[in-house]
Amino acid sequence: MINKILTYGNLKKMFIASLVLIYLADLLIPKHHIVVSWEALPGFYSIYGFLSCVLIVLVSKLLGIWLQKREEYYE
Amino acid sequence: MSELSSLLNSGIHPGIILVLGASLIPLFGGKLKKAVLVLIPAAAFISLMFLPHGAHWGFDFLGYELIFGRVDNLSLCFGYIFTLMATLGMVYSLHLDDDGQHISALLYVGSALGVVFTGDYFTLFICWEIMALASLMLIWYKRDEPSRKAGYRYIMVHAFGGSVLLAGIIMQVAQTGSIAFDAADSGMLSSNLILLGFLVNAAVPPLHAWLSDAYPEGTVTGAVFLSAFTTKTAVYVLIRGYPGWEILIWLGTIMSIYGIIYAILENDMRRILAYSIINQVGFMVAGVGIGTALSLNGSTAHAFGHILYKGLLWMSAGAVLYMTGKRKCTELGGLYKSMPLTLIFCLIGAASISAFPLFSGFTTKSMIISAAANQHLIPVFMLLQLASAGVFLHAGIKFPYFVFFAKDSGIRTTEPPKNMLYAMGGAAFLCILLGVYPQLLYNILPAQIEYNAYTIDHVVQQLELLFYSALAFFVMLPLLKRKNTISLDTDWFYRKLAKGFMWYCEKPLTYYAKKIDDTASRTAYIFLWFTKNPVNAIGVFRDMLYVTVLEMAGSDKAGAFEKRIEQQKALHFSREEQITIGMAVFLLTIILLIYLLIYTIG
Repeated sequence: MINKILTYGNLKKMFIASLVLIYLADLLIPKHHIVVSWEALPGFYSIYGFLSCVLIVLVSKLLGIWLQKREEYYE
Repeated sequence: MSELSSLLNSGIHPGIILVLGASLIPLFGGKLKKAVLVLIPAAAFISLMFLPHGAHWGFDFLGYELIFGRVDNLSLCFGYIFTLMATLGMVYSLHLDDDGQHISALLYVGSALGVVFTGDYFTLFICWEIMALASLMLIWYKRDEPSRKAGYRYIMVHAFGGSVLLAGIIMQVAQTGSIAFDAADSGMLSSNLILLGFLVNAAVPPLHAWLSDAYPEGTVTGAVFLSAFTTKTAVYVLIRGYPGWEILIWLGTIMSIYGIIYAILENDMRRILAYSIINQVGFMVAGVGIGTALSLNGSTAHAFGHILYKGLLWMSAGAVLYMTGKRKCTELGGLYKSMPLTLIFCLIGAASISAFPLFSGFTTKSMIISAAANQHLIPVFMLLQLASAGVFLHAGIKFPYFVFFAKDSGIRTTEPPKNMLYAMGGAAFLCILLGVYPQLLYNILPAQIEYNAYTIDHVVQQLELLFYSALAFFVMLPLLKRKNTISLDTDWFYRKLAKGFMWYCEKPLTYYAKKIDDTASRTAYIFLWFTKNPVNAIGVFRDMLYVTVLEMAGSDKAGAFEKRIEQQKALHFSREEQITIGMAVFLLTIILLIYLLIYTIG
């Protein structure tokens, strides 16, 4: 039963649905705790979260060119 | 006798319970031993509930006042979580029949409690060093070559940190005459040295590589203890001694991002978690640097929550390692079928560290970020948010994904021993409890201030941050596929550069050292030879001069002198009127007497 609900395709659909719902929620809720003006932009934290992770992965990939060595490096 | 009863009236030091308890372990066996192992840290936890606030157990030591028990909200909060984690850790290691590991673990936690409750630098330093040695044993008990080597590097770094700390303490005592451990004076060099010693244990880059180098080499159960105590003791002493030091804001922020970048590059699941500790402690250090009541509460609460969920993550990684013998993402995968319970506990830990609403990270970390916002530290605020997104990326998704899902590695195994599951279950329960009912923790924080993490906009923003980080993870999955690599970190300097230095010492440096040594001993020999018989020596030098002059003049008389030189050299040591040692001493005594006379009269 549970295996039929939790298929790869269903999980993907549920994930995409939650992305949309969360984005919509951001547009609807009142924002009381604004620290920086750009926090008020619609869906700011969605974009910030996504871009942060892209940046982190790209920077680490770039550094990996110099930092990643084969496992026997220290032996 | 009255002294003893007054000591006991103020309760029992929880560290003493653990240390004395540790010494009793070899006396028990079988089921009784298992009960004792869990009861010791549990008793320490209970003893804390009866500790009255104030300074207890003061002793006079060489004119300085030692205080073993400074009990206030801050030390109690760390005391509670340390003993709680020790209890869970002991449950997790019950299957283990290795007294040495159990004793080291209890000694380690006991000395950490010693640091937390002490009010003076002397006790702090002693406990600090015991902590380093006891934790070293939790690495060495793995009993293999990599752990032996990593252990040596680990203890060398901590020996350095300890020396710097001691130097700072000695300077402090010399300047102020007090060994009291309180908020540091920013104008003094000693404060900076002590801070440096603390930062080594807090694993602040570039002094952090001992952690990511050695913790992954610890034993399955030892690593669970290691992940909790050394860095969090450092966070405690920073809160106590260095609140509001601006440099800590920046060091903490850098740390939180540094840890993520390396965790993304890593292939070894325990190394991912090790870098994740650096990332999380970064939030706490930044909180100490901000220094407001809210941020210090935040650092304390985050340390509390972190010990539980990071312990839980290390437990689940340990369970996988224990059952499969593998640690690399490239060798693992698809374990969700064989180890579903471990997966669920792991996911609870992952949700907690990622600060999902209803889990512990959400109710603790957000205090630090809110404090940064309240102080209008905009760059810090934004960078900590970025780091929060990154936490989900590496510890929240990457770790469970590559271990339990991704490709099917073909490994078929079972759940770990029951005691491991109970320990994970306990930690998972507490992670959710702190997420759902954070007031429980807020009530015991140092400052009593109102804080509510569950405002509607905060919850939505956090969900946005997390879900869109997850989206980024799946979009960039091809870039995140792991290969069999390791990543260079600052330990390179003492692992590779030190090898070059050793070559320099052994080859060129030794060659020239020998040259200098030879010249020196030759010179010394000539002086010795001269003083043995100065009159004859002068004769020899004079004749050598004659020979040189005559040869230059082209005279044939030089040969005669050369012959005389040979004769004189042969006679050099055999002259009968040589001064005996007794005679020399007598002459020296007379000279000294004359000198004394001149000195006293003059």
